[in-house]
Formats: sequence, structure tokens, C-alpha cells
Amino acid sequence: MTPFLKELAEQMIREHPKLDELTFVFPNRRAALYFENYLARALKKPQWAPALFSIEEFFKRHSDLREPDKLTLIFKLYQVYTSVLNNNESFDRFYFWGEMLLRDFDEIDKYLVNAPQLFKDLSKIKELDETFDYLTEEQKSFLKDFWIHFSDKPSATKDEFLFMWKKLPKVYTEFTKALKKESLGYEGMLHRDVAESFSKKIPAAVRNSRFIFAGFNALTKAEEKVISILVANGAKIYWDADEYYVENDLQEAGQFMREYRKHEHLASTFDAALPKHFLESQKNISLTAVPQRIGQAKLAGLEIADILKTLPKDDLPVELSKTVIVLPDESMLLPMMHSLPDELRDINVTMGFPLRDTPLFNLLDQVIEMQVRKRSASFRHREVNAILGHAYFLTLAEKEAQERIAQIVRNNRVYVPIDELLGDDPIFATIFRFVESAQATDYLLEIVEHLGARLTDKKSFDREYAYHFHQHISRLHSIFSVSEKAPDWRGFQKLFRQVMMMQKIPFTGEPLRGLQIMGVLETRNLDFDNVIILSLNEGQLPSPPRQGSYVPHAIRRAYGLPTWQHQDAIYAYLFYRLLQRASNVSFYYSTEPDVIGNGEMSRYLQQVIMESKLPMQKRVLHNPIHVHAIHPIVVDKTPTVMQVLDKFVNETPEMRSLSPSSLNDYIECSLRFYLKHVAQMREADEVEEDVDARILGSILHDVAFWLYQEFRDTRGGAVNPDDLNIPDERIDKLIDRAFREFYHMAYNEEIVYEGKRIVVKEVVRTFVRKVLERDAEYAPFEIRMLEQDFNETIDLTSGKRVRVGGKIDRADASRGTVRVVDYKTGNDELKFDDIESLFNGDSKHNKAAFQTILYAYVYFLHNNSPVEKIQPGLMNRNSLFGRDFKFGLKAGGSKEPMEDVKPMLQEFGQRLHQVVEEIYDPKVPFAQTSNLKSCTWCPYRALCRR
Amino acid sequence: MTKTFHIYRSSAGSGKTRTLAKRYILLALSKQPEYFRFILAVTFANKATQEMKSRILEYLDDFANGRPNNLSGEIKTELHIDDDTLQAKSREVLSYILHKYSQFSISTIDAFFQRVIRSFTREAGLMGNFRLEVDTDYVLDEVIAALMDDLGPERQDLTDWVVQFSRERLQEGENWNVEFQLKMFAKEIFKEQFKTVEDRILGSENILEDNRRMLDFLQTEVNTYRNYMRTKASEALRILDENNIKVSDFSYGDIGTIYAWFRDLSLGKSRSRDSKRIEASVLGPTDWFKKGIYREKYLAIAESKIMPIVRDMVAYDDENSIISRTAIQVLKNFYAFGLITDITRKLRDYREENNLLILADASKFLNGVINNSDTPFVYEKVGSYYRNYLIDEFQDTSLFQWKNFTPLLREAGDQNYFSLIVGDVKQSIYRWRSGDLEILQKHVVNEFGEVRTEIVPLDTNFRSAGNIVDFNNTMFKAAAARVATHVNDNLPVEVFAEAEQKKSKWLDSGFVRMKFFERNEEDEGWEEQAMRMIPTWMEQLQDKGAKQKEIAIIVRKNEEGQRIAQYLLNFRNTPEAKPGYSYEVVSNESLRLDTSLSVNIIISALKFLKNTQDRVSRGQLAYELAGTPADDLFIKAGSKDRFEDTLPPKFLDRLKHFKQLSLFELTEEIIQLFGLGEKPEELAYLQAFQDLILEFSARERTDINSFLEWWEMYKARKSIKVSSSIDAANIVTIHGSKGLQYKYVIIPFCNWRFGHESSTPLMWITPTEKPFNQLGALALRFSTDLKRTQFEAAYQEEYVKVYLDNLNLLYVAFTRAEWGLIVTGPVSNSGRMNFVGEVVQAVLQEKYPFQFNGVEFSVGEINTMPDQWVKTDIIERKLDRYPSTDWREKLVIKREGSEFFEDEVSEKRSKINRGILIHTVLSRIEYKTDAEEKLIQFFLEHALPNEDIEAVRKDVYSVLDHPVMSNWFTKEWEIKAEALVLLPGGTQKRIDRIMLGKKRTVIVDYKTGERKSADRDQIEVYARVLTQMGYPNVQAFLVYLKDMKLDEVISNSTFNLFG
Ligand code: SF4
Repeated sequence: MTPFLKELAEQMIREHPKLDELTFVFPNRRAALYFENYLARALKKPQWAPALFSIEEFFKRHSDLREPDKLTLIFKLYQVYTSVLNNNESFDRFYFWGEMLLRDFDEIDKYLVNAPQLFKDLSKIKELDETFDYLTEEQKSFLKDFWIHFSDKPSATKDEFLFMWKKLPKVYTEFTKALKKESLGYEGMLHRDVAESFSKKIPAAVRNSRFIFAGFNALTKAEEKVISILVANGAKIYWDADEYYVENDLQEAGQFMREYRKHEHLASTFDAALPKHFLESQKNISLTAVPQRIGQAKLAGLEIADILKTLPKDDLPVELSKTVIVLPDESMLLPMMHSLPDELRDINVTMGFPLRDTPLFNLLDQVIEMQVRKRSASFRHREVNAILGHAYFLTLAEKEAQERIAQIVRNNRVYVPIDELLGDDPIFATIFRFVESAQATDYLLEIVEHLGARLTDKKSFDREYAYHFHQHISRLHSIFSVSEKAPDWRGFQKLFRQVMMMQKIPFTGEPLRGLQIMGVLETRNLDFDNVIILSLNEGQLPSPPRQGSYVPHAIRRAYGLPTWQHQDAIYAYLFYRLLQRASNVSFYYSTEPDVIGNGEMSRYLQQVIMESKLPMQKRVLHNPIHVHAIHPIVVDKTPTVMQVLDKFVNETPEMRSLSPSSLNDYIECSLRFYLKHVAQMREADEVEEDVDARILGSILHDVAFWLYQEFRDTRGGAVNPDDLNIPDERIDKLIDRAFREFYHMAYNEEIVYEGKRIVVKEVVRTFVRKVLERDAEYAPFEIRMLEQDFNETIDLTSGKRVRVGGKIDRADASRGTVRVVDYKTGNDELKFDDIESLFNGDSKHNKAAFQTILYAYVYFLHNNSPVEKIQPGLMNRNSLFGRDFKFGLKAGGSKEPMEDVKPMLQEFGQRLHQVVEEIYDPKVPFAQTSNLKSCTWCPYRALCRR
Repeated sequence: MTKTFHIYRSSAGSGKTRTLAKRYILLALSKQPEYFRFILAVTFANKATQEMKSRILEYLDDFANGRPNNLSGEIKTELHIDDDTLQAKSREVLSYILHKYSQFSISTIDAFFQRVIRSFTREAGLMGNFRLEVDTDYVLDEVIAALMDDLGPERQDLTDWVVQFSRERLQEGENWNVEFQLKMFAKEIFKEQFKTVEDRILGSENILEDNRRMLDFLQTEVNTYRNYMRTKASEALRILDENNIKVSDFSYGDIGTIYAWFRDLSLGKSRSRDSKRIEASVLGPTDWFKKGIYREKYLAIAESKIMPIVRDMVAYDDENSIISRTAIQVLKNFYAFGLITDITRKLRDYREENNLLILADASKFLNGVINNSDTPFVYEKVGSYYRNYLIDEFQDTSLFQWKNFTPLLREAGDQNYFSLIVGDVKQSIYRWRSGDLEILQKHVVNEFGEVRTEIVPLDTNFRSAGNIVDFNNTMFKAAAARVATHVNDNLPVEVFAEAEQKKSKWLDSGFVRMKFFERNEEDEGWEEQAMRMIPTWMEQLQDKGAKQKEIAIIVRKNEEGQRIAQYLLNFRNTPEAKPGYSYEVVSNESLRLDTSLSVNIIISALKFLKNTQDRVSRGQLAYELAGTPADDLFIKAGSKDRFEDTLPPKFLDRLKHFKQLSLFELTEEIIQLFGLGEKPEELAYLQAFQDLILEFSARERTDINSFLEWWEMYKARKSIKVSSSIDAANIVTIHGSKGLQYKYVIIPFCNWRFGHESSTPLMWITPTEKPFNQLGALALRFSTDLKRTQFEAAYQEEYVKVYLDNLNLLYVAFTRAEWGLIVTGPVSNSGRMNFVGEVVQAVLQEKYPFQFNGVEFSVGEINTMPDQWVKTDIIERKLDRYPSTDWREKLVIKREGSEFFEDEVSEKRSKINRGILIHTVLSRIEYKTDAEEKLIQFFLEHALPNEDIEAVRKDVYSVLDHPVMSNWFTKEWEIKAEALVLLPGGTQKRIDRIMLGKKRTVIVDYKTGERKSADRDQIEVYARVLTQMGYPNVQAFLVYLKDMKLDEVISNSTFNLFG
């Protein structure tokens, strides 16, 4: 089918030999561009082009007012608003509300409504009498509908509403006055301005031009007025209408046309018979239901690939330009772009690349968050790390950045002092500094300028990103420079996000060549052979009702302001119009509702299906579903593996030893042992933000060690009950010291206890006190070992001597019993079944028992006194704080602690030997455990699919 | 008075949706065609909303086209209209609905409330574009972390409280890390039960201080009791000891004896007289001791010396134990409870900072709006006004929702408009989401009064075959009675009073099979056996002609579904699987995304990108890509310098590039790089995963870290959505099956506990008795320990409800079947009532003594349901490829920034390219006479600094006053400025200035840059074009603005175009 604009172009050429005598006005710039192209293509020889305007350009041209950007407008509104209401709401909080007010004002002007009248408080007025003559009966009834509710009981909600309502006329008047003073105006003001001046007198230049308006549908009152005046003056209008929706009174798509057909000035501009393209032109329609969104993009991509195959190669871009993909849901842009066929090169995208998807947004957002969360002289490590790891840092100062990160991790800096964030590269000083929120925009501008100047890679878009951010931040900057009260960083962040989230960077592309990807509004007036529309769901098309208005529905109706019906009708027209001349149409919609129920098929589709009776192919996307089988992971002991395993063998260079916990790992799951201890596949060190069990354990061990070290060093380990009367201050000092060591702080540096550290400190103190209390009950005793390292070798049949090593927390002796003590802060159990169970990785495996018995075994190997019993046990929270503390592990279901472990040690030794033999047995591979419980906290769960 | 308010009590399969649709249609057809906009129909779930909408539209479409359907008769009768009228009216109404679709008000409660809230955003202090947050776990994590961050000298009260909390936990031998505990607790603040007492709790100013006082009080209560009992018990033990009476002298030693009682109490434990033995022993010592020579002597001592103590203890215990026990229970959650104000406050901050509305807050919030305002005003502001309300699934309505609806319904009723609620108390299974069946059961009628209310039972089952209806009638009547007896409360019987249904079709058809297992010879538990039966059932059904997709497997919990899915998956590949049969299953929940290879590759790649030092994800990525650990892959991955060998260089080379991408683009590029789209079996997963990413990308924070954190938290809940068109048995949970029906239902694990949904909930209780009534509202965790406390009544109430919940679940599960119901579970004949299977078997024994042999039960023949196949013209389409390409190779974003940052930036900011300005303004000036006006206009448009204004003006005048050029700006010429020439073929040329004289034509092109030869070529083309257009004697000039030089390119005197 011939596109509307092409048809028009050809007609114009036929009818007007001198095109440059005409002035065309279209709803938007894109239509003008297409029209111009169609004109040129239809010409036989060069000709002067006619004047071409979008309606906005037309208004701008004839008004003396200039339209500033939205941010500036909202800020100016903010200034007026706060002074009228005499309040000090912050700008960031006002922003959204300001947007809404601005929208309301804009509509009031575009619809030429008398604002003071509209904002009149009628709550006290019983009758709408003669003074309301300017109102029709219908208007009055709408108003009554609303205001009647104020006559009965008052309520807080109503009071609040009224309070604001009464202020609005003043806000409106002052605001528009202030703008006019600077020759500024928002769109609506321009409209009203032109409409009013034209009704007084048509400017001479206009009077003498021959105007042609084309492709219009919904006109604002101001537009209607201006166009009517020009029509009376000889202007022509060409409507792009179809009988299908205009002649049927219920079709909302034709609502406006039907009105204009009866309009006193506009009626004459309609042809008697409307085209019937919608029903009569041949169409292939398909309709595909897709679960959710991505599938739609992928299918559309495949469809484009199919179309591409059929196109002649010689003039591909032009051929392709007959195909459009319409994206009612903006967030589908990138999914769609990524789904286009590889071989497709010519694309034109009318939507922009979202600024929020750029790396620079990411960086600035982190920087702001860092400032939001900063403490006196330090930044939170999370943001600092993210910034240091950001692509830009890696580009500019990779080595230094990595060093800083390593240092932060090493020192476990939850909050990183600014002076630890210095670097030779100037980027450090640019970003890591203490900035007050009042300087926020200066700060960000400096960062952006710095990056803009230094990111010189010509191929990347980094400078473009920087440029756009520069523009937007500058705007914020100029606003804050005249504002008395800067928002705090939180507020600034909100504002920043609000402003940036919406921004787009335009793509380059030739508008009339290649595959077209557009939003719904941009398709206005354009026709394509192949139309692909995605996201045909309620909530997307029509888009959800605009976000709020302070003018209640009834009052909007009374004064003829647009309501949601208006918007629905606009979208309906856009939808039907796009179809009427198309030959191939593909609809896609999602079948999955979101939380709040969007996900219903679009009403327009329902209408087409139920009413048009056009043939339609219905499809549903269904990918075969495959349930994943689990493939076991088995690692054979190859020569390399054996070689690495040798690091635990005596006389090899590494001189590592098997620790009790690595043996525990092996017993529970040999694969885990392999991955963690042989392959060293460990998680990266990170700053431990959560002062977790590990830190608690470490600090407790240190403090206990220092406390008893004194006895060991000064008097051969003898401890008497009285010795254990240790003052709190001493314990506190030791805790401080332990914290300092943990965080690599200088010995004289003061530690601040904040957040969870406070809790840890208290818990350690409680723990230590309890240990001392229990020890005092037990004293006198003699300290034999404290934090004692040991290393044993186990001789294998292969001749290898394997090292097993660890550290014994404490061994003490009293009354013929040697206790081997292990401090535990977790929830370890004292019970175990028997020695065998310690070497069996099922759920009953007691790791702590294995470990302490191993210690006892080692103690026994070196200090085998026939008269002494050896009693391994834990000082853990369960036993220490229990009602009756009894030291020692409990074997085989007994309630009483085991007094002497010696009789078990032989079996223990043998089994230990066996395990180590097995580790070095090349025939036994490392494999996954069958006990799923072991996997619960395993770092390799995702790998194992457990 | 006409009864305008109808309550439809529906039962399973009673055609609820149809009834609602019918009511809707009746209302819509009986008035003017636009009347539908006054009707609001509310459903419970999104799916139901859609179903309801399409049902109504389909019915109307049928009527409108004169197609017969099962409703038209009833409509005609009720409206007293004939076929033609029905057709005409329907056509009209359908059109109106389709074209005023925004007023077609059928929505979920949540969606409806959202709409109202959106029009009160200003009042709510929300920003209008707030995001609706449904998941609260993530939010709570942040909130609790923020709370912990607050600890410090500035919040000494808070710090002390948390520290004491931790210490107390430690001393109880529990995890001192209270965060987890707080998180669990804080979940409650999203529940309505809390919301109802919220204001009372949060009202106090100095809440932590109040709480501290309360804590002391509670501890004193407990300690006083314990001390008394300890002293007395120790005394008793001392006497025993003095008299050499030992544990071993007691019959039964220390097991539940009075000795054990003494001992525990003397250790300061709280032990009640919790065994029969103790209860008997405190009356007298007769049975205390074993037979033996000293028994008599012991008895004497006991009687004379110990019994007085015991009597004291019993007297004291009787008087004080309830209070002390109550205090103990209160103390259990008291520390967490004490922090609730702070948590709430932090939550508020969080919501504000992130501009969120938490779904769970919506109805409470709305309640605030509606409460202090009259409804019409509220709805006037929303812009829609309803007369008739049709509310579905009313049994799941919560108290706040009810409160929000009441004024609306009352208003409608006052105006004599018809409203209707439908519900089935037996199917109330959402109590854990604050659904309250008592609203439907009792409150509604109370609120509107019996005069206005008409109760209509919907008591015909249109869903199930006769045998199933009969069976369920018998089963649930008896089961409810048994449960009622067990819990000692009549509520279950009341709820199931109307369970009996009439049959509608296939009166003597359909079947029920039940099978119960004991541990067998191979030592298999019942669950294994039940699972092994599933393929057999499937084979049997398929033998009779059933399609696999007509079968549903209903489970209580997700995990069970996953187990079954895994089992069947493996089964397919065993020799036991018979050829020719299908064992395919699908479920919405059982196909988790994190089982997918591709998803794992993406996730481990993301983790690796987040931290390249993370060897776990490095190793995982390498392994997933290689598919085998061979070649010492893990060793390489774990090593510092060789890990690069394990990852493709094309990946490692692009790390920096990847780090620049947004999350969504990153996943696309990973998919592309690793060719993940080439595995057809992975596509469904990839698609779902990318949808997830896309959804996540709408959040406030979308960096990799945030995503990974979020993923860890929610991955277990993310699965592929299954479309129903595939031929596989559906595995669904009972909750997921609600409202649905299946031809054949298998319930393999019919033995869940009469317990709570997941963890036992907190109950918010406002104590009325002394001394606890000074405490306001309190949080208590449901447990049997609440028996014999002041809160026994609350305990009992909850206890009954828990049983009812589970009975309801059973009802929902059993009533899903249309034709066949198959149930398996463990054999039980203990007579206990802890599991639902026990009740089922007890009823079978009672009611079906002949059909039930203790192991198997059967009614009806296994055969297939008569086909009601509907023709569908929908074609299945699959993705045969997964296109994923790099758009950056096709398209670039517009370049504007390079130049901007070229020079020193500070300089750049002030110095705007003046040449361009001059070019622009010169192109606009036609004659010297209008120059000044154009200049002023131009300066107005471009807010220029003064020095620029002067410079531009100067340059412009140096052109206007130029010896040669000055002539160009006289009226002698007709001017075309910035003239556009259209050229055949679709191109066009824009020429800065053309001067048309009578005999001559002059073209001028202003140039801002340096001289280029291309300048001349271009202007020559212009000249040619103008000549072609018929202009005489074309001359062309290039004006170089930089130095104000004029180049004449073509002079008509020297160059004759086209000869
Ligand atoms: S997840 Fe389980 S099987 Fe895999 S390594 Fe860890 S413990 Fe072993």
C-alpha cells in the first residue's frame, strides 16, 4: 500500500507546481522528514522544497516565549511554590510533585482553561448560581458531583486536599508571571500564547502563507483554535483516517475525527468518503503469545532474519526501511537490538540509549552512594571497592587500584580512611575526597571532566557518555547555584537518579534507511509494509494512565481537560493507523502477568480479534523443556594431581601439612578436600563486613592465649583459683589489642566500637569471663601447652612421609588428668559415637571431636605418661554456659564426659593412617559425597548442583 | 427490604467463575450499554482476573454472534428477553466493553488498592513513580543491617538492649548473633496481625525504656518462682541425702519421678508437674520407692519431713506457675520484640530512600485514607465510582481488606445496589497470608444484617464425576467431625457444614484409588514406594487412553515436587520405563533456573567479573565450559598463574569491555561469546533467566554485585514458567492447584502434618489479665508451651485453626479431580491425629469397611473421561535459534562529546564555537534592514555571555559591511535563506543563501572551517542544480568566516554551465 505521506506528496506535486509556496505542518518532525523524502523521490527535476514544520516548531516560531528544559521549569516552579506556601520542602522531595503540577498547568494552558476559575474552591458554595454563568449545565453537574462531598462531614484527607487546592491559583499565576518576565514558557504557555494572539490578529506573514496541516488526530484546544483560524484563512488539512474506526461510533480510535467532522471550522476539511484500507487491503496477520518478554525480542529477531532473506540485495537499506519494529515497552530496546540478525547492518533507531545503562552512570551512582554513606573521614569499603574495580579505574590506573583493593582487604577495612585512598594517578584525588552535599555538582562535574579529558579511546563511547552527563549535571549545577538550600547527599542522590534515569543518548542513523525501530509515538503518520509490534499488553499499549494529576477527574471533565479516555483514544488511533496500510503484521504479547496484573493481552488486540474478523494466525512460543540431569564430578588422581598432593609430603619444597580441618573435609567429602586443599580453589579474600564467627573466634583465642601466657612464662604454668580474678579492664585491653591486630591497626590507634563490633566485644568478654570462671572452679592446674604448633609425619606404604599439622589451643594438667582444650564459638557438639564415626562422613560426623582427639593423639605421642589420663574436650558456648559444666567429649551415647581417651588412641591412629593412605592412593578418585547435608554450607554447591 | 447483598457459598467445582460471570453479564445487560462501568469485580489472583475477563468477553461474543452456549438460556430467562434481543444487547455491551476497556473493572484486590493509592501519592508522602516491592526478605536484610550499623554511643539504649540480647542468647547456649533471630522476627511486621496492633505498640515514646522496665518485671516474676521452688527442692534433696536415700531407691529412678522434679527445680530449671507420676507423687509418698528393706523407713521420713515441703511447693506452684510460665513465654521473644520500633523506623527510612511501596503495607495504608475520609471522596479522586461489587474468593480476604471494602459495600447497599460475594470457607488456605475465613463465615452477615443479606448456596458440583463427588461428600463430613472432636471445637464442623454437593453429570462414573504403604522388605520407606507407584499409575491411565497432560500430581510442598520430578526424570532412563509410555512431567516450580548449564555459566562468569580472584567461580566457569574436570582443570583454575589456561582467551581479552556493560547487555554478550544460544535444550532457561535480568534492571541498583546478592537470595524460587500446551503431567502444589481442575489427580504424599505452613508464626496477643495486661500487645510464638499459661485460649484458638488449615488443604487437593483421584501415603492405624493421612484412613475405616482393607481402597473403574476436546487453532512455535548479536557493530550513538573534551575543559565550557553561531545567524539574515532584529532574536534564543554577543555582532557586521558582500543584503535581490532543494531520487541540498536577481543568480555558502577542495565541489553541484531548475547566470561564492575571505567559484562570465 502506498504510505499516507507518499500519497500526499504525490498529490501535492500534482496540484502545486510551486511547492515552495506551501507551508506544511505535521504532528512531529519525523513525519516532515519522511514527507520531504517522498516529495523528492516523486519529483522529475529539482525543486525548491516547501516550508516544513512540526507543530511544536510552528508554535515556537510564532510565540515570543522560549521553552527551557524541564528541570529548570520544575525548579522555577519550586521557587514559586515554596514562597507561596511559605514552606521549606526540599527540592528532591518536591521534584516528583512538581512534575505533576507542571503537567497539570501545561494541560490547563493547552486546553485554554481559565486556571483561577478551575482552581476555585467550591466547597462552601451551595448553589452554582448566576455568578457561574460561564459554565454549562453539564459542567455544573460535574462540579457538583465533586464538591458535594465537601458538604458533609469534613475529614483530614479532604482538608489536606483543600489546603493545597486553595493555594494553586496563586502558584499558577505567580509561576506563569515569573516565567513570562524572562520570556520563558512551558509548552502549554506557548500554545496559549499563539492561540490568543492569532485570535486577535493573524500575523501578516502567516496570513499570506498557504498552510497545509497533515496527519493530525487529537488536537489540544489551542491547536484546534489556531488551526481553525488558519482554515478560515484558507489552510488545508489532510487527515489520515480510515472508515473502519471513524464510522463506528464506539471505536475510540476515531473519536477525535468524529468530533472534527462536526466542527464548525474543521468539518469542511474532511472528504465525504473515507478510505477503507483497514479492512480492504490484503494483510497477513500473526499473533504470538510468549511467556514474558525476552522471547518476543528473540522471535522478532528471527522474523527479521526471514524478511532479510527475501529482500533484494542491491538496495537493501531502502527495502529494509519498509519494515518497522515497534516497542511500546522502552526497556525492550536493548533486548531487541541484541536479537537482530548478525548480517543486518542497516538500522535506524528512534529511541535513545539509556543513560543509566552506561558505565559512567554506574560510576557516578557509586560515587554518590559513597558520599551518602561516608563517615567522618572514611568511606565504606563496598563503594570504594566497586569504584576501584570500575572499568574506568582499570583503564586509567589499574595497578594502583588493584594495590588499594588488596590493601583494603588485607587490613579488613570496613570503612576505609581517606588517607589510605591516595594514589599517584590524579583520578584518586578527584574521586576520593570528602565533599559536602552543597558541592555535589562541582564535584561530579570535575569527575566527569576529568574522565572526559582522559578517556581518549576513539572507538569507545566514553566521551559521549561524559558529554551527556556533563550537560545534565551542569543543569543541576546552575539550579543549585541559585538555590539557598542544598539537599543533603541522600536528597541529591534521589534527584540525580530521578533526572538521569529518564535520559537517553540518541543513536546515529539515517532516518529513512534500514530497519526502523521505534516507540509507538514515533510511528505517527508513517506507514510500513511489515509491521512488528512487541509487548501488546495492557499496561504497555495503551500505556498506563499517566502518573497522577492534582485535578480530580470530575473537575477535569467539567473543564474539558483530557482524561485517561483521551489517552486511550490517542493510542488506539496510533495502533489502528499503523495497521491500516500494512501488508504483514506480527503481534507479540506476553502471557505472564506481573505482580499487579499487567500481562493481559492489549485491548486493541482483543478488539481486532473480536471485531475485525480479519484472518489471523495464532501462535504460541513454546520451547521444549529439558530437565537437567546431574552429572557427577569425579576427579582422577592423575600424575599432576599426585604431584600437587605431594605438597603435604615431607621434604618437598612447599612443606605444607594436612590440617585437622582439611582431614575433616576429606572425611566429609573427598571432592571438597580436593577442590579446597589440593586445587586451592578458594573464594577470594574479602573485607569481612559482618563481624562474624571467624572474627569472634580469632579474638577469643588471642585474648585467652595472652591471659594464660603470663602464667606459662612467669611461673611454669601454675594457675591457682585466685589468679583468675582478672579485672575487667585488663580483659578489655586485651580485647582492644586483639581487635587492633585483626584489623592491622597501629598499637596506639584507638579503635572505635561501632555497629556489630560492639556486640562482638561484649560477647568475647562474656565468653572470656565464663572461661575464667570455669577455670577457677577447676584450678589449681598447670598449663602445659598454649597455642602449640605441632607437625607429625605419617609414613605411608609407598614410602612417602605425609605431614599432619595444626595448633593445640591449650593443654593443662591437674589431679592426674591432662585436658586438651579447644575453644569453640560455634554450636559444636560434645557427643560422638565412636572412633569409627569420626572417620565416616555421614551426618553424625563430629568434626570438633575429630579435631580434639587428633590433638590428644598428638599430645599422647609426645607426652606419654602412663599415670596421666588424657581428656580432650571443648570449651564451647553450649558447655560453658550450661547449668552444670563438665569438661570433656562424650562418647557412645553416654551423658558423662569421657575421662580418658587413651584406650581409643590406637584405633584412632590406625584409622588416621588409613585415611591418609587413601588420600594418596592413586586408584581412589576424589568424588562427591552422598550425604547431602555436608553440602549445605559448601562453597562448591553451585558447581555440584547440590 | 430487598436483599441486595448476596453471599454465595460455593464449594469446589460449583461453577463459581461461571456464576460470577453470569451475574456480571446479567447486570451489564439489564441496563444501558455503558452500565458495566459501575461494576467492580474483584478476584484473588491475577490469573483469575484474566480468566474472568475472557470468560465474560467470550460469553458476550457468543451471544453477540448467535452462537449457542450453556449460559444463554439462563440469561434469557432471567432477563425475560428473546434471542434477538440478547444478541443485539450483547453486541452492544461487548462493543462498549472493548472500547471503554479501562472501565472494564475486573481486578485483583491488590491491583485495585494500588490504583487508589496511586491517586493519593502526594498524601502518602510517596513519589508517584514508586516501585512496588513484593519480596520482603531482601528489604529486611538491609533494614536489619542498617539497625546494627546504628549501634554506638549515640544510641546507647539500643546498644545496651542488643548487647544484652546477644549475651542472653549466648548464655542460653544459643547463637549470639542476633541478626538472624531479628530477621525471622521482623518478617512478622509485614503481617496483618501485627498491623492491627502496630499503633498500640509503636505509640510509646520511650519504648526501649518501657521495655527495659518490663523486662525486669518479667525476669523478677520468673526468678521469684524459680528461687522459691529451688530453695524448697534443694531442701527436699538435702533431707533425702541426709537420710541416705538415693535415686536408685525411687521406683523408676529419675525418669519422670518426683526425684527428677526436685533435682531439676534445685538446678533452677523450670519444670512443671509434667508427668502422671509426679502428679500422683505429690499427693503422697506411697508409690515413691522401690520395694526393699528400708521402704517403710523411707516412707516415714517422706511423710513427715518431705511431704510438708511438697505441699508448700504444690500450693505455691498452683498459685504462681501460670504467671511464671506465662512470663517465660513472653520473655522468649521479648528482646526481639523490644526492637520492633527501631526496625519499623528503619524500614520506613529504607522505603523512602528507595521510593518503594511494600505490597504488604498497602491495605493498611489505604485503611488510613479511607478511615478518615468518606469513601465517595476517595473514589471521586480515583475517577471511578462503582455501584455493584462482585467479590470472589472471599474466604481469603484479610481483615484490612475487608475493612477497606466495608464502606464501599455499605454505600452500595444504602443506595439499593446489588452486590455479591462468593467464597468457600473450606478452601481457605491462605491464612498465612492473612486470609481470614471468619470474615466470610461470620462477620459479613453481622455487618450487613440478615435482613439485607441473602445466602445462596452453590451446591452442585459441575467438575467431578459422581463417584468422586460422593466420596468427597462422605470423606469431608466425617473428617471434619473427627477433627472437631480432636481439637475439641466445633469450628471444623461448621466450616464443612455445607460440604455436601449434588452431582451434575456422569453420576456413577469416575474413580478413587488409595494405597497405603508400610516399610517393605527392601527397607524402603513409604515415600519411596509411593514414588515408585507413580509410573505405574501413569501407565494404567495411558492404557485406558488418558493423555499424560491430563494428569496432575499434587504435592504439599515444592521440595516434594522437585523430588518427584527428579525421580521421574531418572526413571525414564531405567530399564523399568516401558516403551510407548510417557513419563514426562513439568511443574512451574520444579524446573529451577539454577539447574541450567547456561545459567550457571553466566552466573559464574558474573562472579568472576566481580572478583577475578574468586577461584571458586573461576573454577566453576572453567568446569562448566569444559564439561569435565579432566586435564587437571581445577588445579589450573586454583593456581595463581595458570588459571588463564582454563578460560577462553576471547573471554579474558574482553574483561574490561564487559565491566563497562550494563547487567543486561553483559548477559547478552556472555551468551553470544560462549555460544549459549546454540543449545536448544537450554533456550527455555536462557529466556527465563534473561527475563529475570530484565525485570531486575528496573530496580534502583542494578550493578553486578547487587544482582548476585539478590540471586543468591532468590534463586531457589526462580524456575521456568511452563505453558500448558505441552504433553506432560503437571506437578503442582496444593496452593498452586487452587482454582484449577485436572482429569486425573495423583496425590502421592498424602501425609502432611497438621502444622503450620513453614515456621510457626508469632501470635500478637493483647493480654487482658493481670499482671500482663500492663504490657499492651505482645508477640508470642505458637507452641505447646503456651498451654497452662494465661494465653492458653489464644493457643487453643490457633490450634484449632491450624487443624482447619490442613483439613482445608486436603479438601482443595481432593476436589481438584474431574475423573480420577489417586492417593497414596503411609499405613496408619494408630488412631492418632497428627497427620492428614491418619484422618483419611480413619474415615475410610469408619465409612467404607468393605472397600477398605487397611491398605487399599477403591471406588469405580479406572477408565477415561469422555472427551470434551476443543479444537484449537493455535500453532506452537519454538525458537530454533537464539539470536544474540552485538549491536555495537551495526550502530553507534551520536558523537557530540569528542570535540567537547578535546581542549582544556574549563576553557571549553566558556568558549563556544563562535563560527557556528555566526553561520547560523548569517543564514537567517535576508537583508541588512532586518539584521538587528534577527540578531536580537538569536541572542534571546541562545543565552550567550556578553563577550560572545559582541564578537558575533562584530563578525556579522563585517560581512554585512564587506565591500563586495554588502551589496548582497540590499533589496535588489530576492533571497532564499537556508533554502532546501529537493532532488529527484530522494536527496536534497540545503544552501545557505541564494540571491535571485532578474538576470543573475548568486549562490553563497558560508564556511566555518579551513579551506577544503570539497567545498568547491559541493558548491559546483549547487550551481548545477540551480541551472537545471532554470535559473539564469548562476554565480557561486564561498565565504570563509574565519578570515572573512570571499572565493568566487563560478562566475557566469567565465564559466558557462551546460554549454
Ligand atoms: S557440594 Fe557437596 S559434593 Fe560438592 S564438594 Fe561440596 S560437599 Fe562435596
